[in-house]
Amino acid sequence: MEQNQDKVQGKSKKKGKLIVLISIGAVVGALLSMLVMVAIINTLFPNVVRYVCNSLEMAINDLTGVVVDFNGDGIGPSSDKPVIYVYGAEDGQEVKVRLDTSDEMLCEYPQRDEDGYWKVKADKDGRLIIDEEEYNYIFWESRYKDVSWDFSKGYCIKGSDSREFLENKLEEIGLNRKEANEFIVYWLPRLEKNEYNLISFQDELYKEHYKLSIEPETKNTLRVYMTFKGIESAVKIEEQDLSKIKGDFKREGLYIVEWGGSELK
Amino acid sequence: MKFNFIYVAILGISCLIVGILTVTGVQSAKNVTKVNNIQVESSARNESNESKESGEVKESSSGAETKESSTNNETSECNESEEHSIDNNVYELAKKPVIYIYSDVDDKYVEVSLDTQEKMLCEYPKRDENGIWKVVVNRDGSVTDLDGKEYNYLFWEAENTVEYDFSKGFCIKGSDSREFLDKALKDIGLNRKEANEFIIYWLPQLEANEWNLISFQTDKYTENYDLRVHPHCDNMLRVFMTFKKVDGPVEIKKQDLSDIKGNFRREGLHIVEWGGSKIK
Repeated sequence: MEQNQDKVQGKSKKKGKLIVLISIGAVVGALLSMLVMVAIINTLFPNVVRYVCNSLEMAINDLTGVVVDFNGDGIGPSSDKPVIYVYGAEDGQEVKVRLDTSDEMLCEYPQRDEDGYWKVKADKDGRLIIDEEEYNYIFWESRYKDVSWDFSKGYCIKGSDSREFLENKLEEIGLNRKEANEFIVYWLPRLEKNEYNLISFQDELYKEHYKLSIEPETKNTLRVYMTFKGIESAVKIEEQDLSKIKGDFKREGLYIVEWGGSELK
Repeated sequence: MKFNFIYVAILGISCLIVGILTVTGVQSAKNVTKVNNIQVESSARNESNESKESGEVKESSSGAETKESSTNNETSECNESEEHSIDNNVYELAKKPVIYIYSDVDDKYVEVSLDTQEKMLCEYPKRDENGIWKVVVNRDGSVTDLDGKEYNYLFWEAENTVEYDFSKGFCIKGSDSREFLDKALKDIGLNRKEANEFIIYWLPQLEANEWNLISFQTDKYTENYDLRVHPHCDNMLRVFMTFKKVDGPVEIKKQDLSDIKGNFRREGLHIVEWGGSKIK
């Protein structure tokens, strides 16, 4: 009897093991075929894989705070080179500038103080003194992950026409020539690289995600943020009304001008 | 027991295969993105080349021409990407050299030409058909083209195939780049405004790396991109920073930055240029 029981137990043990092994085999098989699929998709549609990698990276970063980079292209898009010009109402005006965002800051120059402020002395011509050193402007750069920019209106511009486009539009938005020049030399090479670009200047979404507070308060703040995607051929898009971005910005008293942008993949 | 061993062995082997495949999969994904980037860049070069060849007149081209040029681009893109996938280490960029021109008198007419074998990728303002910037400069450094449009400086960007000199330089921790640049650029002779623009362009790229090997180039750079100015200009300062990402501190003989400054003085008609290149 005992022997029989042992046999039965042994059999059911073996059965149990077999089931475990088979299920492991199935999982391994599934993984294998998935990898083969990924490899095939990778060769046929590299952009799809890049997109999936980027979203995965961002999801992992979101959940665990761990920074992973599957395909070596960085994690998520970045807000590149926003520079903030501060023009004082009179020479040497003391101004406090604060930027509130949930983004990971990548770089800032000069560095903000411990309270998160840039405390500047601003001249009328925009020259800044911060901690006894002279600066042309305040510069910051960050990486965002939970913003989907508005491309419902904008422009579709041929890469080689970017020069004229920027010259015209930046003037319309209200940048002066010096600011526009710096904007152009920064973004023109990136725009010209693409066959066509879908370009949209962001307004509310940008201002909400990157809250800029100025002390003393001023209503004369112009924030220009250009988002663009490289595309292969021309598409139709409803033209954007840039006067909304300018609003009633005037170069009077204390005023702030900021420009930056982001290239979306 | 024997029976189980076989299963364990099979399991082990399949785990190994999965591991290998994952690694190769990730690697090939990396490669694909690399090749893609190169394709984008090479198409940019084609385009800039085309627009240079055809001159500015053609810019107002009709839709039909647009289509034609895009198909041209596609075919040449394929060729070039093949070339580059074989040998993509050679390919670097001379990024954002900007040229400031300062004059001792207002309204001075100056011609600046850049002689190089390299492919130009972008320029602002555009040079004329002979490759010359013809501008009028003022004491404050503002530059006006012949149409009366004002510029802060001349800007250009080009491909680079020269191998740069890293025999002397600096090995700097990414997080120390700020202080390093502040000091080094002062030593070289940039004024605060120029240094500020240099720093905000390069600082994010330096800080992104754990450590950098940094070397400021002299002859290798100035010979490859020969800058000529008419009327003759004695005081020319050309700053070109090359850097490589390194994993940890490495020993390198310290570079004497006063060599770059030389006898440069901010007197008379003088020219300041800064740019750089990230070496892979």
